[in-house]
Amino acid sequence: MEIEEVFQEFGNMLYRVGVVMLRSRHDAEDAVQDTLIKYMEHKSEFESKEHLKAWLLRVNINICKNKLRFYQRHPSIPLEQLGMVYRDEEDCVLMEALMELPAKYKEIFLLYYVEGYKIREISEILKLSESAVKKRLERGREKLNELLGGHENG
Amino acid sequence: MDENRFERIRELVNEIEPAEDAKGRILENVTYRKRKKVYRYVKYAAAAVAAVLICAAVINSGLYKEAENQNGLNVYASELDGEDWLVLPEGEKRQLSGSNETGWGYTFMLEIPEGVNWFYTQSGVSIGVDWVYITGNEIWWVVHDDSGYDFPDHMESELVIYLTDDEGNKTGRYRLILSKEEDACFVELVNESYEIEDEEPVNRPACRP
Repeated sequence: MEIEEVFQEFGNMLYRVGVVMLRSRHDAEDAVQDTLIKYMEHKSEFESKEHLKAWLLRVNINICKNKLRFYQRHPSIPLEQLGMVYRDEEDCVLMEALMELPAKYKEIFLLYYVEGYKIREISEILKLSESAVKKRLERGREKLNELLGGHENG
Repeated sequence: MDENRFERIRELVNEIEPAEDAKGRILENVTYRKRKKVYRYVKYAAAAVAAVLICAAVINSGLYKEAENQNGLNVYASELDGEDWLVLPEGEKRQLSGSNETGWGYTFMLEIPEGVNWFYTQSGVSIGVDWVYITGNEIWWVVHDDSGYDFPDHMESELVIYLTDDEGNKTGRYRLILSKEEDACFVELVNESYEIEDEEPVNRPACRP
């Protein structure tokens, strides 16, 4: 696929992952660019569109995690500054909690709940064992509960 | 945890979209990098082609000269004491310094290619000691003034080497010229092989290393 076609098909998805992982639209833009450039440099063919999608997600997530390591801490930009304004207070709380999750849980959440991948598929994308994926999913839920519970308790 | 919350998370995340200007920026930057990459490859390819053309031009221009002639004569010159030999390239006049403790003169060694027939002639002013010694495929020409002084002005002495095939047809001619001009001695090796095409074959016995 031409780079423009790849961007058309998967650009929004990669951008969303970047915003949630990095909590920054600007950094998400950079991550998408870097991912597409990696695609340009990739030599071998992809078996299918699904194969390509999984590859792009893996590369994008790795790029985001590298950026986070470089920054050494999560930037805590308010959602409003990210242009994420919600009429429903609960939506705002939910997104805030998601953004607060550590990266290793966020990536599982994004792949499982947002992109709809199965545990086995996530283990292939992230090069983790299935048990590790399950464990992270479970701990991610606990952490999210904790963050939401803290808000609910004021 | 309420599964509806995860469904809501999915809906909220899917609402995140890049603005149109952000989309434009991303695509523009990626396309720029793609063009830059192509441009870099074109630049490297052009540089490689240019390097090949320059090398070919230099080699063909004769700027790059081999010190020794692979198929012709190799001639070496030294002062009389046999020190500091230098290779004489074809078509270049070289000034020689002829004075040393041994006397005023020069030794030339002419190396004939293996498996080639040849003979030589001499002409010009004979100076003092002027002898030719042959060993294998080497011709040694020693020239020096036995008066102990410099060569006379306007002196010119030469050794001409002819190369022939087995039928006596001349295949090459080299002229080694030693001359004196305005207090300086010069030597020049001239390849005249292109001039001998129509010359008569020789019947004289030729030397063959």
